Amino acid sequence: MTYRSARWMILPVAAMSLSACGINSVPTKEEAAKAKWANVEAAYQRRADLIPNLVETAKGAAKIEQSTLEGVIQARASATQVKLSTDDLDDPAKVQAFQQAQGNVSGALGRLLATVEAYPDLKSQGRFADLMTQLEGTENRINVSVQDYNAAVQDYNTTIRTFPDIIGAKIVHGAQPMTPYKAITPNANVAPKVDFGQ
Amino acid sequence: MALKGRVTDTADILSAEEEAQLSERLARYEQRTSHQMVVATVPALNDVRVDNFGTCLGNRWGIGRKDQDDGIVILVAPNDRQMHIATGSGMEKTLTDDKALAVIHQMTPHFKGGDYAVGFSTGIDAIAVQTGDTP
Repeated sequence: MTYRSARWMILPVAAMSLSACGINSVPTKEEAAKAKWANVEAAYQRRADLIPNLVETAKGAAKIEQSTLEGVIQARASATQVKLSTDDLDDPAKVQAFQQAQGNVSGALGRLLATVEAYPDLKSQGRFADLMTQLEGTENRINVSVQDYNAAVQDYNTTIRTFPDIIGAKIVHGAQPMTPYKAITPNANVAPKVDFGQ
Repeated sequence: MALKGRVTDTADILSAEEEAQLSERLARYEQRTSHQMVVATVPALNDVRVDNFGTCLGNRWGIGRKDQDDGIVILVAPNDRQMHIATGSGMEKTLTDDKALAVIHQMTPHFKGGDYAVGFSTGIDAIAVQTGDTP
């Protein structure tokens, strides 16, 4: 009788310690970070979708060097090839490759935008101005989604490194720290600021 | 910065009556379109980009329906003299960034004159027309 009741006592204790050592919190936070990554990807995809139109419009309206335009198209094309699945977010090399590819697009776009500065007519042309506004908005969405993702990664990484969740992280899930993302965005300052001052 | 309702006037540029009117207008907008739109003002951006600020607020506050991400945040920083209209990803194809900028251009003349309430209601009506509501 005493043996029996003692065995029943163990169950709630075990359940309690399970919840306290990261059996649940680790995968939840990992999923949260992965969900945030989906937003980052969507924002980059949006930028990739804008680029062909932007280049076409620029091509039609101004004598911008062919190499500048091709640079953007090529950087975009190679960035589209670099995929980063959510399972690779704990692989710093793969994250860096993605970062590099998107950074190249940002760099090429930056060069295009710098060139466009010399063509006030193009800058103020309706279609092009609209696309520029959308590009600026997209860069903003990239920035915000990256910040959100990094915050979620930090939260997850802190959890798997902190006692007692580290127990669940190490033993049950084999959790690896995820890699924060460093976004490079092109000439953020070139984009028109909405100022209602003067 | 805590969400106070449909109008969160941290910069204190609206009277209680104006806030109530705008809130009522925004509630009507949500009733008709199911989209959620809020107004926010901040006393200082503290060197944060205004667009970044607005989008972060919308995300943190959870504006819009969760499964649609169709929220809209009109953020004004009167002392920095900057503003932004942030849209959720489910709204950005309807209220595109260039359309949002056009709305901003309708609002800023009122702001320049110090008439914030009129500026906001002009903006809300313009957005309403773009997104399936009547003024």
